[in-house]
Amino acid sequence: MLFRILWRRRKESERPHTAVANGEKSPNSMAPFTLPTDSPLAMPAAESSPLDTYQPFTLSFRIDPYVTGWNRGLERGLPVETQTWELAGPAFRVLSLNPGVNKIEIKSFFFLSHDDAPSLEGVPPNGSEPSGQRVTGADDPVGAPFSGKQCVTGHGIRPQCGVKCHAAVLLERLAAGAGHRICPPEDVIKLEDRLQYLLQPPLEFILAERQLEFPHPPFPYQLEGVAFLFPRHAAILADEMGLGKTMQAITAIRLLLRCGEVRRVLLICPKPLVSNWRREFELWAPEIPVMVIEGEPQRRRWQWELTTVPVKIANYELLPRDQEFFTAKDETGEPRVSFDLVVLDESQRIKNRAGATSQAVRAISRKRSWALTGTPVENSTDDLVGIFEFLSPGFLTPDMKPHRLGTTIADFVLRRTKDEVLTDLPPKLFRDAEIELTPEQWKTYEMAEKEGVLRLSELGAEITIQHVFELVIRLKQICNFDPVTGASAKMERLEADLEEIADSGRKAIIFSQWVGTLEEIGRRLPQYRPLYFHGRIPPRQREEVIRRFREDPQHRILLMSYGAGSVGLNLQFVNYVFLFDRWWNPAVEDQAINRAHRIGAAGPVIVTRFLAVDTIEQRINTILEQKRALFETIFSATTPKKLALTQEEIFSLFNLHIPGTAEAA
Amino acid sequence: MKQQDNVGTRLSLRLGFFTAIPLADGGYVGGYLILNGVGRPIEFHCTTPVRPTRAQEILYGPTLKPYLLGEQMAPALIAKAKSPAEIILVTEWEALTLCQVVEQPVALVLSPETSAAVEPGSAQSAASATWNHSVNGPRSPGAAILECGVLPACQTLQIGRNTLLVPESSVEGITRVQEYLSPWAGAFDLLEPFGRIRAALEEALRRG
Repeated sequence: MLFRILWRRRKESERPHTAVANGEKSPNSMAPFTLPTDSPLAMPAAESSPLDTYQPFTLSFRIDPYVTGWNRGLERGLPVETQTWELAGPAFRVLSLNPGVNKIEIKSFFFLSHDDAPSLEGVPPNGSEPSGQRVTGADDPVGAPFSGKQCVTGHGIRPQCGVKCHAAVLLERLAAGAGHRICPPEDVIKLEDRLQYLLQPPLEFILAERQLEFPHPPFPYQLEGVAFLFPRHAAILADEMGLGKTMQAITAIRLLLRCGEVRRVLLICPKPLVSNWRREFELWAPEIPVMVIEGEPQRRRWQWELTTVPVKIANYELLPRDQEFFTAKDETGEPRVSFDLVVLDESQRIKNRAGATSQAVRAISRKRSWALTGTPVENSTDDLVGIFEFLSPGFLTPDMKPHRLGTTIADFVLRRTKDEVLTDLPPKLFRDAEIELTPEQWKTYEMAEKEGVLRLSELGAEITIQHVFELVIRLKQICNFDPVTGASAKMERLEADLEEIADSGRKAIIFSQWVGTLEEIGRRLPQYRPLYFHGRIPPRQREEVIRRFREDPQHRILLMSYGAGSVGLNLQFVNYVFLFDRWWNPAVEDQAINRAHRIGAAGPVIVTRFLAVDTIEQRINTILEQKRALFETIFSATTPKKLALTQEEIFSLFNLHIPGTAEAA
Repeated sequence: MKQQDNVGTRLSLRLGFFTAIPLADGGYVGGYLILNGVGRPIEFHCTTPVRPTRAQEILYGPTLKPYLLGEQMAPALIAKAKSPAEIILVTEWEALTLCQVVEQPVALVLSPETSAAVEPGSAQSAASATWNHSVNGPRSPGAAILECGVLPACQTLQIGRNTLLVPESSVEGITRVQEYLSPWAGAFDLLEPFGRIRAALEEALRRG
């Protein structure tokens, strides 16, 4: 008979030590103990256990007989253990998630819409009632002097015709993602004011939408300059010469006038440039009436006080004389003459804060002040301090370190170089022509230098910068022409070069710092029909000189002095520039060269710099080259330093020392 | 609205532009700009930062941004405006749900890249292209939900150089403006004002 029992698996340690499983016999074992298959504890063989921890097991173990008899032991049955599992968990908690509604705070800004903004279109510039009277040109002996071709009538200002609008080009640039935004300057603090700028459309859109006329589409960097100037109350546009500062300033003025931000603008420039500015206004803002302040004092007083003209042009030379006109007060103590914007061209003119011009400029009542210059620093950081006394008095102080100066002015100054923005401008090629003086020149030169240095030495403590300067000038003039024989190695070289230039049908400008030298060159080159442009040419004739040089193919050369020809003239049809002698300051030389090398240049501009070897010219050039290199470094770091020859440097040309300085040391 | 080249009429036109920029911590700031017909700003309204709650993140899941932009921020901004806009343009597809909340016609201005992928006249392909294109936002799980019916049926319209995705309920209103603006179609870019809003929002955040 087979017996099966249900047996719980146990650990080895739990097992009764006397039991022997699986039929193994213990030495003390008795017969295997089994349950009969019909026992209630036995399971059918075919059934499997519902719990895998139980399995059929055949037992064989020894039973010790109880004293009460082993049959009784069988009747007691096997011990059964029970376990209890709790099925119910902890009580449920209900959580409610409320997405809620976000509390949204809103800031609102309302702007003066375009249609509310005052505009030049259809509105008299001064806001007064239209007079209906035609205002005539400057030469009109009766009417008020408007210099442009436009007229102001009761129906507003009529633009000149015949100039193309380049809206499509501007919009194409905009579509290509090359728009320029007018960003608020750092000194605009209120968020509302800043948003007023940020939310305006890009400049390209404004220009295109208003159908503003331009002779040609402005370059992108020029629009960047306009966007820079437009929002600023104090700004320096310090682009390198030839990048179009004039156009950028005029366009910014034009936009400000048309949107009613300004109504009275004064432009101040050197006297020789007045006609140039007038012409540029006609070109770039043909609808804006322009008046030049000039003539007799009584007339000028009236011009200063006239409020119906949006743009007036005055020259620096005039300001000290007219100061009483524009500083006069009315009965309420307010200035009778005031401007919304004053723009200084060639603003290095006011670098000397103590100068009469600087003081006169600063006395003009104004809301906005802009300065235009290609050389914001000609000599030292003081130049910049002087310009800022006009822009924002007290903003800079002379004792500021260059680095701090650079960071302080960063938001006020925009300077780009041709290399940065005009990648397609024809190259500017320099040729340093080292000239050996003729024997006659050498003889005169050596004698003059020997005598001059001897005389300076004899002066001892009496020596001044003026004494040294006189000797330098004397020697430089000998390098040009021998005053005894008229010999000139430079002239020989110039003649050879000009022959080649004339054969190719090109034109050239020749610069010198002396009118006498220019006239001598002109006398020797009659075949090229030379024209003159220097300080002795009356300003009224200068424009005609430029016109003839540009239009008449017979005039092949223009003889210019650095002083008269270094600023504000456009001579980009010229391919050759000669520096017959060198100026003291490389910045002035650069300005002169850039008359030809600027936007619109027809081809490469070749600059020939004459240099008499082993002379004072070479010594000066060495110092200037060092300064030029320094200038480049300075501008990239916005840390201007002194550029022109210092007093010490001029003395050092002859191994001399300033009395009481080096010698004492 | 007369279709005539009259600056005065253009000046009286009001176009609304809504967009929002995300914040580093997960919220958004929204801006609503109203321009006249020559692109000049008339009104600008912006929200302070709006941050979704954790409960909103959980419960709204992928539809959180459509909810915040289209149902919370944009309606609140539009309600502040004094000049009612003829149409309201948005640049995030999530904000297109705005059309179910406001009365004005609403349209999504597609980016040039997305526009190029859109088959003209095919509403479904327009929607798919929009949602699939990274320029208007990478495809998210929310897009799938919208595809299932949250977003109304749309069709494409052209205004100037811009392609618009327009819910059917807004087509009539947008078409009216489309016809009106057609003489100056080449003169404006309807995506450009969104750049102004973003610049203004960033400025507002910088200035606190």
